[in-house]
Amino acid sequence: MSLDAGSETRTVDFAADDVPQWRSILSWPAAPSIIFLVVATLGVGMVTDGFLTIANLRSILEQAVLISIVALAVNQVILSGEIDVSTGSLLAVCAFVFGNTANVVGGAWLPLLAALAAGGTVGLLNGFLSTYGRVPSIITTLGMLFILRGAVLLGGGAQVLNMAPESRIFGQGMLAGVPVTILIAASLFLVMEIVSRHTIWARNAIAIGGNESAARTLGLPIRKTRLIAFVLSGLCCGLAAAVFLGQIGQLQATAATGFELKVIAAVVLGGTSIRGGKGSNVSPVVGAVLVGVILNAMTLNRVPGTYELLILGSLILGAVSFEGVRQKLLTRGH
Amino acid sequence: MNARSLSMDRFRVNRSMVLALIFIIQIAVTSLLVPGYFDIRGLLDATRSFSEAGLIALGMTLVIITGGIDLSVGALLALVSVTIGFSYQAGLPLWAASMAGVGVGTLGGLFNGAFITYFRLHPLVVTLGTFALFRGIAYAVSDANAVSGFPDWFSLFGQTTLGWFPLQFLFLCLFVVIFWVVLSRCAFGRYVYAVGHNEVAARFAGISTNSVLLAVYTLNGFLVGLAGLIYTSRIASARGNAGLGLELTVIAMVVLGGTKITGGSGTIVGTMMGILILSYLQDGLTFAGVRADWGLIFIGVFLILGVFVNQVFRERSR
Amino acid sequence: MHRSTAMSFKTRRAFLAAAVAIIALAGGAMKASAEDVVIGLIPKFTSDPYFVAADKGAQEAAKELGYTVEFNGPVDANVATQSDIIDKFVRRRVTAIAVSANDPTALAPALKRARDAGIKTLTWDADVTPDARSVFLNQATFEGMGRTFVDMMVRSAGTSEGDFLIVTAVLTSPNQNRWIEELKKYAAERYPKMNFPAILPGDEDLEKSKNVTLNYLQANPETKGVIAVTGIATPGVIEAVKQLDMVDKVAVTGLGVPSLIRTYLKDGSLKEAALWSPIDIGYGAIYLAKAEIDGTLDPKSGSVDAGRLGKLKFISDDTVLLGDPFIFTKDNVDQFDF
Repeated sequence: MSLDAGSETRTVDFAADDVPQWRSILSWPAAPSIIFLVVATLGVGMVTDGFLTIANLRSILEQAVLISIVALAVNQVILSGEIDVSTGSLLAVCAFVFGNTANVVGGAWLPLLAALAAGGTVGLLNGFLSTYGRVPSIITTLGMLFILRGAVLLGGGAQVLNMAPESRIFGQGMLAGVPVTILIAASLFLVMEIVSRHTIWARNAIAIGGNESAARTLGLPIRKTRLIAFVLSGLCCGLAAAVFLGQIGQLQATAATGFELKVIAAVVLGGTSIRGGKGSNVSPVVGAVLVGVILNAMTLNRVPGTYELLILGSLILGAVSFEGVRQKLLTRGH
Repeated sequence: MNARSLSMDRFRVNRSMVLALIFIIQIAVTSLLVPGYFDIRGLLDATRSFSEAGLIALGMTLVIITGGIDLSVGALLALVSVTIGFSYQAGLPLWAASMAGVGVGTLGGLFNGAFITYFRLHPLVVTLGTFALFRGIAYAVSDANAVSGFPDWFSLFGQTTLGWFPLQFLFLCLFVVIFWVVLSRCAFGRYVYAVGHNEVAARFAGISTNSVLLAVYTLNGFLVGLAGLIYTSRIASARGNAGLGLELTVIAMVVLGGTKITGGSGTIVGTMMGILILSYLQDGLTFAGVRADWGLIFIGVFLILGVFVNQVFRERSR
Repeated sequence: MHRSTAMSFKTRRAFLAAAVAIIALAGGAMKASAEDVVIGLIPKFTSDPYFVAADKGAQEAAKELGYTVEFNGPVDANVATQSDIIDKFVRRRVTAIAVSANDPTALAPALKRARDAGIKTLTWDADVTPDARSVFLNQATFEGMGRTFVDMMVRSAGTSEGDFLIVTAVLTSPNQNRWIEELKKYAAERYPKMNFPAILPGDEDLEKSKNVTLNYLQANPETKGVIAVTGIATPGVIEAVKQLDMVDKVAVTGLGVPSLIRTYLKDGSLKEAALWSPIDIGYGAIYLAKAEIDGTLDPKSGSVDAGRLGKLKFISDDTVLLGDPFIFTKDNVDQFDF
């Protein structure tokens, strides 16, 4: 949490510069969701047996890792004013690439490279179509969501992939007493923090998402910046695929259906503005944990799985309307 | 402005003609390649499978012309279907249950519209949320159960034919005419274009843009309600997984018909051609025994390609 | 402009009609030989090892009989798509349609349309309402499956006392619910101290099945065993038990597709799992269609000839039984390649 201050200064929110204390807290994107996360965790913990145990909290974190990895990248896409809804199918595609490579060459590092390559290529295609191709990103990635799922069903529908233990190192086991999966997500978070603080690309992304026409006037490389965000999203799907297969050990062609919704829910719940330009790397992680806490609490309280979509939908709508209300409050005070 | 809209009109006519030609060639080629495909009665029978999507595509055309999008239509269709089935099961007379279903569809559309206009949020986010919410309610209400065992008269909407024409196709044709009149001959149609072309300018011109948007989304919801009624009657059962992926098919139909995804232009005639081309492409493929998984890929490709061609084409014509 | 389009459409139509008529005539001359028998085989969804294996069996039978079997179905267990595909098979005038239904009533209108067009209809794996098909090929009786699950569990856990978790597909899956019902009935008679405090849905998703089991076992570590009554859930449940290091404390059994459970049988985390052969059910469905086409299907005779499967028994007027569920162990699992 020592990185909080940095996250705040990077937001392009001119309204927040000279407003009273409570408003500046309000304007920090991840603050409400962190408060909400703490309240939710304690609240659920009080009414649910077996929730506030170390083992359960650990398994929530481990389950949130997958969402976090992809959400950290999609966060950048949304920051730059675009959207990526193809991640569910792309994760499945990358997992198939990972699994098949692992079955041929064995090990885990080469399959990881292959999965990254596959994810990066699709991300590049998404980005290229959405920027230079002038196809809005919702159309590109929605179309891609279906194309990739069709490809996985056709190519891998009948295939059964069983992962050997040495190919599952990214999803299992401990390193220095900490689960590997959590280490992977934490390192990705650190890398993203460094990128956000020290690269021009990250600054440009926020500037472009915050005010595209101003960014154009300034001559910022709009297309290139967004293209890179899409590639990053693809790469993270590749990384997530390695973790996913490691955790689960087997693959079915319908795997990760609806995953894209969880990712977007995590990003907007964390407080990143869906309009772009405002948010931090803390947002998607907090959002992912929040989604994990809620889904876990549902299982523990025997809420039927049929309610999962309802709750995800309410969360997304709640988060974006909260954002809407906050915008109204902030602009009124200005 | 006048000269521009005139040339736009000519462009639209041309585009629809090109699409009509493509459609004819497509049917001809499929008929030649696939023995037994060309059969007027069979081809008319096929309209049964896409009339619901076609109806929604008409409403979606208006939504996209205003510069918006509605990703929740498939989920809303499921909610409508579940409403009809479960309120009937709970003892409501079926005619009342059907009306409740159409009502829920309309309300769903109104909900989208209200959220978009009140919070000034992009339709993309709102309808992505309701995409999960509507289906979520449908699953929760039905507990993933299906309702069936409707009385015989209920097959009227989805299983009857008038001569060789499935009733729902005639219904679709009727709505095509109505929407064509509304969009090209009424003041409301002009407002829709104006909002999509430049919302701020439209507001300064005295158009209540919020009312127009609200009306367009509600209208779309109403059409989803009708489509849900037809769907429930056609399948003779109501269940929460109805209309999965429908939003993609519908949007693909609309953009294939030449409606600009960023708003401001589009026609009902174009959408009609988009409906026919995409539907008969799928029909031909399945008829020829091509695995349904390819359908996902084709629709995705057509969606992206349709928008891409539109964008490039417009860039050139400018 | 409108007129010219209409004209060209008309001329084209005339041309096409002529072309099609010629093709149709040519085709009509060779009617009624075995090569003309086309059977539409519709699974619940296409991209699943189970249904792909069924297709394999069906193609094997088709080869023996000189039939053509066309395999097509929805990608996502969608009933509307199944109904559309039936309609398309009707327009194609196939000889018979064999379907594994996603919904017992939703497919009835389409199947009745097929029947009206003179096409034989039958079901396999999952049934529709009896008036829409002639015969149903049932893979195993519900009682038989229920008994098998309980017996396997008692053998694997080494005890019949305590709490046992059931992981199912979705809470409303008809087959699974009947199995659970029979399983509880049988357990209540034979092992009164066997409790089933929870039935959790894994939604036919490996990861979801794993997560619900993980969360449940963490909160209820005294659980003696988990029965997974759907093939996709079994590996997920075992992964959860393994992650918690509870392999020796929590026994797992259930429905198992050999290719999915082979590694777990070998490493001892799973002792037994049961399934019928999906290849055989596809194979049997085609032979049932053959009997239907030849007009030799007769419930009174008590059985029906099914090629290499021998004679399949009628268990009611319109239901044929494939056989007993088969139990896989680490010793026999390698004999199966599906």
